[in-house]
This record gives sequence, C-alpha cells and structure tokens, in this order.
Amino acid sequence: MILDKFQDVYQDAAQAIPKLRMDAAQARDELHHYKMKRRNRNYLIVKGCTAASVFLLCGVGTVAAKSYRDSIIRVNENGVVITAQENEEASPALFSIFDQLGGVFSIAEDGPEAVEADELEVVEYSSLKEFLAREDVTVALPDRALFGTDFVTERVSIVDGGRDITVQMYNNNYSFCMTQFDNREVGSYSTAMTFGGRSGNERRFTNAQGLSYVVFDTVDEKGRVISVSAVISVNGWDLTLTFRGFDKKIMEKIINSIDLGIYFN
Amino acid sequence: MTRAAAEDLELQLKIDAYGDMLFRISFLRLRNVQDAEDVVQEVFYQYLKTSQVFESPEHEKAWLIRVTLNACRKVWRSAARRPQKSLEEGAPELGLEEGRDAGSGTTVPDPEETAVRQEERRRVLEAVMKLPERYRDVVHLFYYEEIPIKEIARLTGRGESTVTSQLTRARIRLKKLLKGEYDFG
Repeated sequence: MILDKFQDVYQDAAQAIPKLRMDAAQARDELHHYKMKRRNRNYLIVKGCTAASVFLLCGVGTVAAKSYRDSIIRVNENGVVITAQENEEASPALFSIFDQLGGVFSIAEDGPEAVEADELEVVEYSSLKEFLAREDVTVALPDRALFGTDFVTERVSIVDGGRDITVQMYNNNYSFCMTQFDNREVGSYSTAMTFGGRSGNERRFTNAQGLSYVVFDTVDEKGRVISVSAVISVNGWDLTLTFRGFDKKIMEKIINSIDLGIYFN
Repeated sequence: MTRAAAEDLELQLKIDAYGDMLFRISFLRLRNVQDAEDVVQEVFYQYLKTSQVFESPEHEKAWLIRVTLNACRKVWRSAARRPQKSLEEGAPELGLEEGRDAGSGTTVPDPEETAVRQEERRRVLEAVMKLPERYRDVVHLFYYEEIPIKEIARLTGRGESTVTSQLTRARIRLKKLLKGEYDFG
C-alpha cells in the first residue's frame, strides 16, 4: 500500500487558511500598534512547579509576571521577588496565588478571576548527564565536583523549550536546587518564589566575575536555617540557587564556579 | 511619486510577498483569524520602524518570521487573547465549508471528489492544530515552508536537538491522530 505524503496533503490543506487582508496604510497604523503594546503589557503569568519534590527542595511555588521594568531583587519573609521596575511594588496577587500550583495560568492584572489554563510543554530528565546529552539550551550549571557528595537523585525539568529550567540534586543530607527563568523576550516582568519557612538575613555575594547575588536564609519556626538561597538577575535571566546542608565555603565555591558569561551572549 | 507613496508601494510589495506566509504562521499558532491579523499588522509596523539592514531576501524573511513568532508568543501570553476556535467553528473563515474550493469561493463541478478532498484537508489541518503550539510551529515551518531544522532552530531560538525532538514527537502524535495514513518521510 502506498501512503500519501503528509507534506503534499498538508501543503494543500494549509492553502485553506485564508489570505491576509491588509494594506500598507494599515501597517502604518500607530493606534493599532499602541493597542497591541497595551494588550501585551496587561498580562500576568503564574507558573506552578511541575514536580512535587520542588515543594520540598525549592520552596512552595514560583510565579513569573510581566508588570515591571527594572530588575530589582527583594527578599521578604515569604521568599524573593525579582521585578523589572524599581518604583512599583510587586503585586500582592503574586503571593496570594502561590497556592495554585501544578499548572500554568494566565490572568489579567486587575484580578485573578480570569484564570485560564495554558498548555506548556514540560520535558523531564532523571539525570544531568541525559539532560546535557539531549538538550541544547542555555543554562548556568555549577561544577558538580565541588559539591563533594554523591547525589542519589537528579531531576531536570524544562518548561516551554527552556524558558524555565529546574535542576534538583539531592541525597539524605544535602540538596541543591537551581531554577533559571528566561525572561529576555518579556520587556518587563516580575518573578517571585516562596519558600517553606521564613526568609530573611539578606546579604550580598559578589562572584568572581564581579556580578552580585542576593543571598538569604530560610529558617524554620525555631529559627534554624533550612536552606540558603542565592539569586541573581542578568539580562532577563533570573537564576536562583538553593542549598541545603552545605557549608559556607562550599556554597561560595559552587556559586563562583557558575559562569554567568553565557547570559551576555 | 512622493517619498511616502514610494515607501507605501515598497511596503505593499513586502506585504504581498510575505503577508500570507506570516499570517499562516500566526494563525496556526493563535488559532484565531483576528489575532493573527493583529500580529501580522504589528510585524509590518515593526518592519517599518526597524533600523535593521537586511543582507539578503533570506535574511529579511528570517527576520520577519522571527518577529512574527515573538509577537505570537506575546499575544498567546496575553490575558486579552481572543478565544481559540476549533476547526469546525472556524470552517467558514478557513474556506473549508462543503462545496467551496478553498480560496476561490466558487462551486466546483465534481461535488463528490471535492467533498473527499475537503474532508482530507480538514482532517490534516485539524490534526496539526490539535498539536501543542510549539509542535505546530515546527511542523508548519518544516512541511509547509520547507525550512531545514537548523534554520527553524535559529528562527525559533530553540536548540537543533529540541527542534528535532519536537518534530519527532509531532509526527508520532500526527500518526496517531491520522491513524497512520500518511508517509511522513
């Protein structure tokens, strides 16, 4: 049996898509352009973590939204917010919607009532080796030898072709979680992350490349440090590293081993 | 001819050359004619305003496709996005209603053959539009525009291996949706 070539049939089928009805005068329409700009500005994306273990290792949830301009990192007791404009506060909706994990939602700025499920591709790998062999994405990874421990479990999640990447490695005593958001195509945005404890003790750490991370601790109800996180935003890339169980010198070495030069290409 | 008129003429030539191609890409991504028109209009506005110097027609075409995909992504993310239509709902505007030849609006003489052909078109287009958006891009650029994987990777900002795996996954889904009736080679 000879099968029809899909390409031939598809090319024929796609001809059924109507022709564009537009002239040069329409393309010059400034009003349409400003309407489009306004329309694209008025959105908020809420991203839920894809793996349950992210709750344990990386925090309670992750949110990215487009509302701000300059890149500012703020730590509060719930976690951290990276915003793109200094003179505006992160929307309270960012934190109030953290409960809605496990999916991806688009909602209007003026209220969460218009929550709409979106469909994003999630690819998961059970080892860094497999991830590196099969994916060709920009990602800031630390030198693994510096951790000084063997991880029992490794997980890598890639959302939407690399827009969000989460790497988790852990064993009984140590865990490391890295999340990277690619917000380069979003002119202004806000990324927020909550943690399962109280966050604070904010300080700065300047890496060997002269780039400054915001570092903070997350503590339990007795004030014991659960995890240490380092956050940096470079050219639209937001990177968060969360360590549990490691001592300060090792964490510094690991942070210094990450080449952020890739964010300048 | 005034300078403005000459610019308009040049722009109109670009719209005639690339407009339908960009519209198809936008429509497949957004599944809504009005959104797709908005995107293409915005792309040509950006084209007018850009200071980009194009080294060749291929470079120009690649720029237009890239800007279109980015604009679609922004609209896709927008809360103000219009509802997507299924193929059945969108059939009249897609020229897929029975007894009508796509694009011409004329009644064709052999209704049986036309009906079979329309049905085949509908099934194939419907299957492609059921794919996740990223697969739709790749399938359309590869099978319709005949753009090589390496170039699709460049246009979409994805890795070559990602595009290859998306194309593979898309084929698997299409085979399932179309019950393996086609040769995807």
